[in-house]
Amino acid sequence: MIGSNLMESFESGQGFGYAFLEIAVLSAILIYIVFAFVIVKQVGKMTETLEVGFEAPLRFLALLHFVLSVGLLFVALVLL
Amino acid sequence: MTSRRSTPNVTKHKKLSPELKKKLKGHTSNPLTSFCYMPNHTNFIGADKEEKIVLLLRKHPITNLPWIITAIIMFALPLVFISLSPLNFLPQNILLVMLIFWYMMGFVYIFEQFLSWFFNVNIITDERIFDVDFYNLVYREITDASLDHIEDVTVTVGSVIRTIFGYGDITIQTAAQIPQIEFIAIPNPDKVAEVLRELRVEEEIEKLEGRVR
Repeated sequence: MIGSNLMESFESGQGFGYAFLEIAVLSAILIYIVFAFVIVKQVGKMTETLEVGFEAPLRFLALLHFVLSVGLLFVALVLL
Repeated sequence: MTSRRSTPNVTKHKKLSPELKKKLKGHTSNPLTSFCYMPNHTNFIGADKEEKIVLLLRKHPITNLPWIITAIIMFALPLVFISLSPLNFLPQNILLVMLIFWYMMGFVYIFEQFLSWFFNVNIITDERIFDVDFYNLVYREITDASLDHIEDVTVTVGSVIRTIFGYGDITIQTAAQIPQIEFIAIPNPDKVAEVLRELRVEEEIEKLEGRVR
């Protein structure tokens, strides 16, 4: 009974089940943004430790990943 | 080997210009190499101004194969899910967000593994040896020992894969506070041991001549 209610909730895009899923996805993305920020700091620390002439692409990738993760939050807010 | 030469080769190579260094065997300007003899434009935290880097080492590229296979599986997994349709009961918008999220996690997995390989290095300078390790996102450990503290160098090349691809471990026993430094899965371990031998001879000559920094 509960299972079928949840299925209906997911399919209709309304109700407790759908809201719970929305909150879970948004929370996961928020945690992911913090993680992406830690990666930016980590890459900064690593490139300070060792310089071999490949620091700029790595810093760029870390920053791009952080920007994309923030972008994903906006996409999720719009779509969900 | 060193007894046949009056001066170790490393001593001569250190004095070469960047143009002439290019002709040395094992020298490359590729920043993604796992073995670089006399690297140019390389610097690291804790290096002295007069210190010259002789060898920059990373794990052999073949050691990256397990995480590359995992990454390929990660990227292929959504295709399997879509074809089997086990999540079809979820709304399309949630599925889309979850798919983007999954691929971003795939990217970050690859990036983290690459960073771990790229920055976990072993450095041999004309004065010291360094072992730089990043264990997780924020924990860094740098171990160093002076060349004159090295007591014993052991080269280990075991297993079929290691023999085929020519990589192995080097264990360095030192008289320093940390008694053992390990270079794990590095390419050309015999060459590395030879360079270490030459540098230790040079260090002894410097000591005898009173040129110790």
